[in-house]
Amino acid sequence: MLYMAARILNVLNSEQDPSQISLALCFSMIAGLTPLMSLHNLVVLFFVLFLRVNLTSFLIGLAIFSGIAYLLDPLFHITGLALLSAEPLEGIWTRMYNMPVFRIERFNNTIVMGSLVISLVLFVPVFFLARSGVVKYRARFLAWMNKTKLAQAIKASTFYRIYTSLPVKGFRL
Amino acid sequence: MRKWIRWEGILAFVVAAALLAFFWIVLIDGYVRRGIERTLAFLTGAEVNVDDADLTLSPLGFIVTRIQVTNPENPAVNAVEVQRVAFTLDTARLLMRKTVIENMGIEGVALGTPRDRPGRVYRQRAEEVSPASERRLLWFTVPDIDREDIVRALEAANIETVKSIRALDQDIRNRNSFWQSRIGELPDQERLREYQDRIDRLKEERRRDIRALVLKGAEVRDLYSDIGSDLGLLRDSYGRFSEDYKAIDERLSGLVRQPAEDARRIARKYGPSPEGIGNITGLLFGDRLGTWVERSLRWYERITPMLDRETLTEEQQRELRPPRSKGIDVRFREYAPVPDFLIRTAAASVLTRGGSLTGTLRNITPDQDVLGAPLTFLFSGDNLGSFSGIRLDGTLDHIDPSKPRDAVRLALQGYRLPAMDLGPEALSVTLQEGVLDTDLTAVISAGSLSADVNGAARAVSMLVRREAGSSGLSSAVADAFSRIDAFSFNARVSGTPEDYSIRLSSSFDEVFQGMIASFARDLTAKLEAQARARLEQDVREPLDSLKTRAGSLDAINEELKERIALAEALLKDSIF
Repeated sequence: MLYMAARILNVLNSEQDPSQISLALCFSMIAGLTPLMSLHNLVVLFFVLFLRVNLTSFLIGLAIFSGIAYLLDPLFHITGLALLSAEPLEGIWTRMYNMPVFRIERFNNTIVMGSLVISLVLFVPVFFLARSGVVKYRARFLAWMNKTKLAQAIKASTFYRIYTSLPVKGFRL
Repeated sequence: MRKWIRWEGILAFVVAAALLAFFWIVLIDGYVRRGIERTLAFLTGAEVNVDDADLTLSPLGFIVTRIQVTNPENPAVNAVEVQRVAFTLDTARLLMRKTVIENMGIEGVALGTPRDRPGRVYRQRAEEVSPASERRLLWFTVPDIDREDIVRALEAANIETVKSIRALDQDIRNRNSFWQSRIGELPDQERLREYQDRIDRLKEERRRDIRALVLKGAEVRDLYSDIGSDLGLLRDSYGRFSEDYKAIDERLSGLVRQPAEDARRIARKYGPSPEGIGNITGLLFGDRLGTWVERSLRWYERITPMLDRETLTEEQQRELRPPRSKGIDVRFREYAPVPDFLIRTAAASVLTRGGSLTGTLRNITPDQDVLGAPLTFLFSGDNLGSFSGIRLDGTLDHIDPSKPRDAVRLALQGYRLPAMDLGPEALSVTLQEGVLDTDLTAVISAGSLSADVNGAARAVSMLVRREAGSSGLSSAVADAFSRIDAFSFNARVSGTPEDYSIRLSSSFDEVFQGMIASFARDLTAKLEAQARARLEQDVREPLDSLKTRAGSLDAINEELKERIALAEALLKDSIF
């Protein structure tokens, strides 16, 4: 646990571009919220590897969002069912149902459909929110934090020892 | 641009994808093997072992070797063992998530092979259910007169008889009182003697002076008129009394006969009837056939869910709470509908001690409505050790899931019957050997079950265990059985799979019919005599008292008859 927290801080404090971190989080959101063994996650994996996004953020995000997905399953099911049984969309779904690629994707499963749509809808807002969050964290919180007594205490702790043992990716506290 | 693109990432992706594919290919064998084991274990309720499942890539298919299905009744042996199952998959359709197997070869199916180690049994077999028919094993005894239901029937009969006796007693009292009073109002013997005196006097006068008597013509006319009027009154009263007397006499006779009639009725109801004990076929084969029917229906219950896919309405889909992370698959119209799972043809060969039984199954799918064709099967073989010939064919038609119709036909020739115990304890018959030819037709259509089995056995040898001190009938039965060297039988099963009845008949019934009918009559007569004695004993006292009271009416009867005779004599006695 301490290790994971240290990794998060390490990434946030690194010199990586906030966009790369937040984009990695957005990809992890898709892969984490939707069933992992889905075709679209192969595409996500491709983008994660091809685009220069922060892999640590992706892996941490994947772990976190997978946990959240379990809690949100009922919501995904209801959303997916509502979309798949919506009459105006029936023509589209029928066409997709007759295409092998979408059948492999299992788009007609309520959880797959619900989780994929929700994660895609949240993709852009989460990207900008996460990006803004990283920027603000670095500019305000980190500077303020360095001056507090708590930071001084932390520096003397085991957690800090783990943190400092990680490879340096930019400036440090 | 370079800031955002990681060219080496493409290589990493290719490596990752290749690793995924590699692991899929390596792991799929185990996945399929476990899938087969789990599915078959669910169906049979016992451990299933698959030695190996190999994926072949060109053409895409599987070769599964040595499937062992534990016999839940005897875990040390396999119910079925299959040496090799090979099939290829339609790759194009597999991409559409359709498992379509055009040809499947099932080789080396053997039954009852020994296992290396006993298999686990996950689901204990339900207790064998005997046929629903009530067995009345009243073979060698008269029903106990002190049996609770018989005692109740006797008491009820007695209560009714005693009630009737009391009612008649009261009626006799009333009638007696009425007629005692009435008889006092009628012309009595004194009055009739007065008439006689008057006649005598007039006769005397006639002898003395006929002319004086002529002058008394009016008196003579009045005298005879009075006698005629009194006689009419007496006759009329006697007529009405006779009706009462006859009615009471009839009721009294009825009551005297009542215990005998009640005894006959009770004996008929509780005594052994030829129908009750006479269905010897039911006694011999009922339990065994009932067990076979139950076992067949249990297998049918396990198989039929695989023929019908459960479809949910939109509302049911909304109400359904699927397991976490599973969801439900919503189905849409397909341009070229194909079942999700289909084995078009499966050829199987079953090894027996004598040879191999070969057969073909067609259209195995849970989506017959999509395919538009039923599942059919046909197995046949000759000279198979215990059989000289067997043919099994059938159709499981679920094209219209609301009107399924499943039919199976089995023809068996020259089946060498193994030694088996037949019948209940009271009639312990052992079939030592025999050769059976039989035909079976069974249909389950829209929830109703009907089956017809006809069989003929020849070269039969039967043995009946003779108990020490057994009755004459049991000895006669044993002798009759020992002379039987052939028999035929028919069984009809009808009703629903949940509630069915079995009607059995055989040539045994003809052999034993007369013997059993006569025996049943004797037993019933004994019961009737016992019941009659018990009933008569209980009502003897009130009935005797009633007879005494009924005697009081006899006196009235006699008195009236005497008066009428007297009046009639008066009318005949002419003065002139």
